[in-house]
Amino acid sequence: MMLRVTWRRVFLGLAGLGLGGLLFVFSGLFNVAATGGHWAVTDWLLHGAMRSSVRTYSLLVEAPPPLDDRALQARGAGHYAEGCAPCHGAPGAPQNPVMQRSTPPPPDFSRDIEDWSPKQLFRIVQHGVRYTGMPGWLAPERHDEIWAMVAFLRLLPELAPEDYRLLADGEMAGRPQGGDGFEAALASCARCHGRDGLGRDGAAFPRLAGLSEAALLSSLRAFAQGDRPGALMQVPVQGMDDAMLQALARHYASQPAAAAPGAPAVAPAVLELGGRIAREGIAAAQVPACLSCHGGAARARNPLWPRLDGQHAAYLETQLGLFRDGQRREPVMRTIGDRLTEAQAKAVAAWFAGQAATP
Amino acid sequence: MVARLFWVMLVAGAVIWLAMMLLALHASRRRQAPWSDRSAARLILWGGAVTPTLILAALLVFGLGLMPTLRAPGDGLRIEVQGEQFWWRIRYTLPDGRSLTTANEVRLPRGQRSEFLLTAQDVIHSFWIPALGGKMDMIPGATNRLVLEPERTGQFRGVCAEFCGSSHALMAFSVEVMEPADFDAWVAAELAPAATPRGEGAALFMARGCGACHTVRGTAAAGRIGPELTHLAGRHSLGAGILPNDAATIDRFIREVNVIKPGARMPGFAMLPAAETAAIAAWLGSLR
Repeated sequence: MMLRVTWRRVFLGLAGLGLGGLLFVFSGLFNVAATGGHWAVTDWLLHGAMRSSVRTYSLLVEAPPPLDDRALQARGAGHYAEGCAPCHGAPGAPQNPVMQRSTPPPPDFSRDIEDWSPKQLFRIVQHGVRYTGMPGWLAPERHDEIWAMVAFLRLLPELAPEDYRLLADGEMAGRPQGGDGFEAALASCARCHGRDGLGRDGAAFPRLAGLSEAALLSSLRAFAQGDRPGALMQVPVQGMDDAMLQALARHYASQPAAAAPGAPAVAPAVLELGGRIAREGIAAAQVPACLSCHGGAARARNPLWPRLDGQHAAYLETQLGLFRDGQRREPVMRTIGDRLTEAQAKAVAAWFAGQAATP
Repeated sequence: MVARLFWVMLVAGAVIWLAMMLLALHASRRRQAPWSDRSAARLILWGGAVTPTLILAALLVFGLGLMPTLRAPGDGLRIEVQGEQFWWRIRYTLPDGRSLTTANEVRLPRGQRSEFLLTAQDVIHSFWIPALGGKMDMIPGATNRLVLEPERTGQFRGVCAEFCGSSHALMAFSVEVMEPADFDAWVAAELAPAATPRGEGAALFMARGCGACHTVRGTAAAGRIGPELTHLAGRHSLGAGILPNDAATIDRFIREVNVIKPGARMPGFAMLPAAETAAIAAWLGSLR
């Protein structure tokens, strides 16, 4: 006999299916075990969904900066070794076998990275992937950090193990790491900033040598308390107590400042504009002179203000951008950053980078 | 002078109005044969065109005749006022050439013609002291002149009379008209550097960067972004004519300016320890 389809029967059928599904879930018969992995069809469906989602959402990602910049790659490398290599492996550093037992297992990047465009990598690094173990970026608003990671990921498969260690650990490459105590904490800083606080790989890392103890400590505390977003610094300082932060600040404050890295190649007119902003401010835009707080006399009155002369232009420019976008929220610099155009920020950063850092 | 213009215009207006009313009454009572085309045309020409033109021209000539006197230059005191969101930058140029910068308060000598040069830093503002004269727009990039001759002493209130942003209603200033001798004494006191250039509050004022935007003469603070504060405590009001001027209010203003005056260009300094802003406020409150 034929069963006549009526609205009532359709409704009852759907309700029965839903109820049955709920009962099945509640019974616990569905197996969520990671052992054994996905069925091929599940894997195909989930991975396909992920590829499609990444492809679509990456359309919204901004245009990448030049990704073959050594400084950008070095900035990403240290964080990769800390946060990513345990799951994804690295040249000369195999994946952690524990992580390989998850479903899906994290792909091994020491040999190959699936074919993603820079924007797609940015999307994955920034937001992570649901239903896998892939976390989102600790400070998703820090696009500059995420691009550094993307730049490094594009380089990763070509790296020889010793090059990888050098890029990730700098002068600490090949030395024992980990443990606690001041030496271990300093080693963690030194991987990027060097024990002498001068950084490495061009403008990859801000120079710490010659900064005041108060300024260093205030930055370290801001990272440790999450007031200043930035995964690259938040990860290494988390778990350090205040006494350790003080000791680290004291160490770097005692390092002698070195000669200025030199202004980047910009037109003399740009440098002149930067110098004028630093000395006089921009009255029409209500920007006070930078040196009224960051100059030597002002820093003598308040050591909390960082010295800017001799700092890398790229770093200063990035920070001014973070103030402008409201990611760094210190009220005074937030206000000033908002009033500087990108061109003015570039000029003033270049001028400070070209100033001799005398102790 | 303005009063004479007003009275003449009022009386003339009243006479014209009365004459028109009488004519209208007369016309409504008239019971006669219709006008011929010719006489109607003549009436329209004389009554509708020639007579009003003559009367209005006479009044216009009288009004314009007053202009040279009204727009005559001042007696020597020149006051440049620049409207900014949401306060007034004020610079006196004295007859002897000395100059004096202050903010949010205008003091004038009684019986003298003081000349204002009005402009704006950011958007259009309007300078208005209702008790002393008409309003005058302040336009970025242009300078408008206004001459005032106050006739009696007293304290008055001035306001911004052109919507200029979220705190437009909080942009006012105090005005004091003084006897010329008192005015000279005030100028002499105002030209002097800060009364107490040292102390804990002064040191904190410098250490926290206030001097990057504010000037306190006699100290290292020489910023030109915000209002000059050398004799802040001597002013009748705080925050551009909106708050009483005492140390507690100065403290609150430093910490919460963004709450008190939404859209103000100064950031709030609530991140400083309360004891520090209180010390800064106490010092500023002592600068008479």
